[in-house]
Amino acid sequence: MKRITAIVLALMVALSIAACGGGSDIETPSQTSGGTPPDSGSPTAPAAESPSSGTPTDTPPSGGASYGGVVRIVCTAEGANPIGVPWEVFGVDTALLIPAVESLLLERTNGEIVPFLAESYEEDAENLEIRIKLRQGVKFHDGSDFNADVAIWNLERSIEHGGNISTAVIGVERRGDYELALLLDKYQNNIISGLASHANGMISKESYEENGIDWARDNPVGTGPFKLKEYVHGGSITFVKNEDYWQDGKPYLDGMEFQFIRDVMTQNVALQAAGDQSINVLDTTNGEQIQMFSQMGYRINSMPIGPISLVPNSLDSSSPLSKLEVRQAISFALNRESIVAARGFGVLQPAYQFVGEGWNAHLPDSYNLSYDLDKAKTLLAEAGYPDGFTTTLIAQPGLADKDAVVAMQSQLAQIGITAEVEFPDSGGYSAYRSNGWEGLLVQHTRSLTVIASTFNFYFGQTMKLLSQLWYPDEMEQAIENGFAKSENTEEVQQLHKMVLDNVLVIPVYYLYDTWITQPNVEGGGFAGWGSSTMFLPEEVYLAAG
Amino acid sequence: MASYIIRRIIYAFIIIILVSLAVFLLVRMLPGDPIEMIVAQNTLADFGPEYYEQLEREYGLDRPVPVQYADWFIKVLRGDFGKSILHNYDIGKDMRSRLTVTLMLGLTAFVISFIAGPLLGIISAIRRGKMIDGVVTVLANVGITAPTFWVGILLIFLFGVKLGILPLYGYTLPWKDFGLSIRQSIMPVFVIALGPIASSARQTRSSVIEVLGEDYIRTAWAKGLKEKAVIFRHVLKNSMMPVVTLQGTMLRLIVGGSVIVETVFVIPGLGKMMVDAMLSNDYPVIQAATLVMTFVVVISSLVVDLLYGWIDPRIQYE
Repeated sequence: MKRITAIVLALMVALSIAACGGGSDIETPSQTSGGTPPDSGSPTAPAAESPSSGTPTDTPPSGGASYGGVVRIVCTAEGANPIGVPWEVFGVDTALLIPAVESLLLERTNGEIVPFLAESYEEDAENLEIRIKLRQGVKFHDGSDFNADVAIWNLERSIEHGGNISTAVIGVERRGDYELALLLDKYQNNIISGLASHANGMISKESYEENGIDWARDNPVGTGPFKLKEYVHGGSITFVKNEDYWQDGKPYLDGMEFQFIRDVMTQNVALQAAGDQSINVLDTTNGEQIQMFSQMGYRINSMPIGPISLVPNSLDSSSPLSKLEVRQAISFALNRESIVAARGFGVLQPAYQFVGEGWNAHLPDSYNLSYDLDKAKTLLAEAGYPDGFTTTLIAQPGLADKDAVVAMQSQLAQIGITAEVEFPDSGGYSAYRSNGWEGLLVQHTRSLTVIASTFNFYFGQTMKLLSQLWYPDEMEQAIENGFAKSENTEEVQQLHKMVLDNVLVIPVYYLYDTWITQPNVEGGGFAGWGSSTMFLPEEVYLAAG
Repeated sequence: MASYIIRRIIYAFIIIILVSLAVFLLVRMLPGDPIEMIVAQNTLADFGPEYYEQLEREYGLDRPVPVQYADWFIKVLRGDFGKSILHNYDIGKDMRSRLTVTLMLGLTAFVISFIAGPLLGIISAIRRGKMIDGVVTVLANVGITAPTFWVGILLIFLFGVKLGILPLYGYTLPWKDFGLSIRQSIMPVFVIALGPIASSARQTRSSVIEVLGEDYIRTAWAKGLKEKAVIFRHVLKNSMMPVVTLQGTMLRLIVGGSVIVETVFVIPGLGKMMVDAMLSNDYPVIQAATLVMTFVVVISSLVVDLLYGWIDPRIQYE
């Protein structure tokens, strides 16, 4: 009996250890770009320059050997949204539109706008309009023509529904069979970027009107390289090749699938597995996963998406965090290098500014509240808290690394700040943000490609996201200024100075949105395209061998 | 008998109302609401307070809670579960396909555990102290104590990644692709059935051992009856009462267990629907999924109670 028990237990322990291990015997690919932190250096001022008429393209597959196959993707989408009516889709689930629904424009990680279903566009700030010339010869999956009437119909639905297109757009006017103009009540430099979002993608008016909105919600009929085959809410989406795609010779794949795998462990084994259920692409911000797959030779395609920051309840005048010196002290007390060394997995980078190096709002390094315990203690004493105080660190689920939050807690203890740590679920965290919190939120403060939008999102008066965050009255005007010109470096740097001078939030480490791909997955430009475009499905192919 | 069934159906209805009311109130007491989730998720859009209020009005969340509940319950009685606030899909339509998946897996696991658990328990009891008894006892203990998600991950690693003989995730209904469905079902069904098999085996073993010590069994042996006759004719029927009671409980565990198993194996069933909805505070989806689960559990309890009378005619319903 004892022997049996021992054998069973030993077997289970061995299996557990094997399952939790790194899987070093798994076939490793020959080529990788991974392991190093992403080069965040490229994003510059989002361009509003004259567009080219060319179609973006990666290196095409050589010969016929690379055609065919199916690529399976796990991304952060929840897979419960209707995906056929773009103006109703929001948040992470816009990714699910990519294979079937295309947008007028594309946006690179560096903010460059590239015409796509639009052949060209022209911003006319003086006359308050954006003129768009559409590509001809493009057909929807149902065979209907993509033209100005259909594009206008789509854009009008977006304007009516609200949310996905700038409120500065007040109408759309037909200027020809393949020409239209967006009419504006004021110029804003984020309008063009919004048109690159799949939430403003183009669907067939004919199919929509024939079948009704309920049908359309689950049946995207776009112009994209893939057609919907099956959508299982919360399970998977299967797309098959669109044989009549408007770009000759594309797509290269026979199909594309999204699998909605929430569990990190299941994600890991699925990416390592071979065969017809192997996951080829995983989108994640989890540093541990990125490092593990980087070491195993997978390709790591990262793009910076802004810092994890401490967000104080500074609007509450009775809170110690309403005092500038206290916020400065906290920044000086954080040893970002050590946090990143312990929990950065070679991927995350310490953040000393709210906006990272790649963006035009980034400031010279003199804006640097780096680790200095003595200074922190002095500032805390000046603020009237020589013995510190008690507060709470509330971690954003899914994005804030729990161990990093615990490290912050212990570093704050060094200057006498006793911080309790809370890890609420998504609903609880949202409630804190909206209804108020006491202490510091550990929040991902996303840097959008149009960086003025980031300032608006976190510090704009019309926004409701961070209800307890204080910011100066002049912020609103500064945000307006940031939107008002296409070349806005001076304005957004001014905004950034306001954030840093007032220590409105305390950036801790930069996060990276990373597409981990199996080594034979080529093309698509994963991480080369901004959060609106994400990747080009028609360019993805599986390398032979 | 008929009046007993009617009475039990009335009780079941009351329980369903109470549970639905409790869930309705509890989800609203939790921090956060679905509109906040919409605003928080949409990092690219200009969602101001007016839009927030508009959404609240649109989904009726600005009305008093009792009014919201009454409205929801009346619609449910008409078969209308409403729409997901966060994802805008028809809950009733979505739930039909998800419930099918959950029931396919759950009932398969239930049937397997209903057969395998008692069978192992009987073998273990009549071979008490032998090697087979030891094996069954150890495995039953492991089956009861091992966390479901952990067993799931181990199986995925072993059969999916290392051996590559079973699909890692997903589920296909048998009438769509029977072969694939069977292959996809093996691991989740095993994980769901493991605990119930282990519990049933232990319960059956104890129960059979107890009955084996009864005088009438000794008399049966003394009459010279063969082992098969003693076990099947006398021991089994008399030891099955607690086992049947336990099976009723197991059905509840199987429905509840789907929440974890469907998440680990990425199965689009009712359990995963509930988890996803809870993470996003999607009130109508949580309410609908809980209601259906409560219904399944209440009905299963009723069926188990009725089975008592069939197994033991001494039990009177009136």
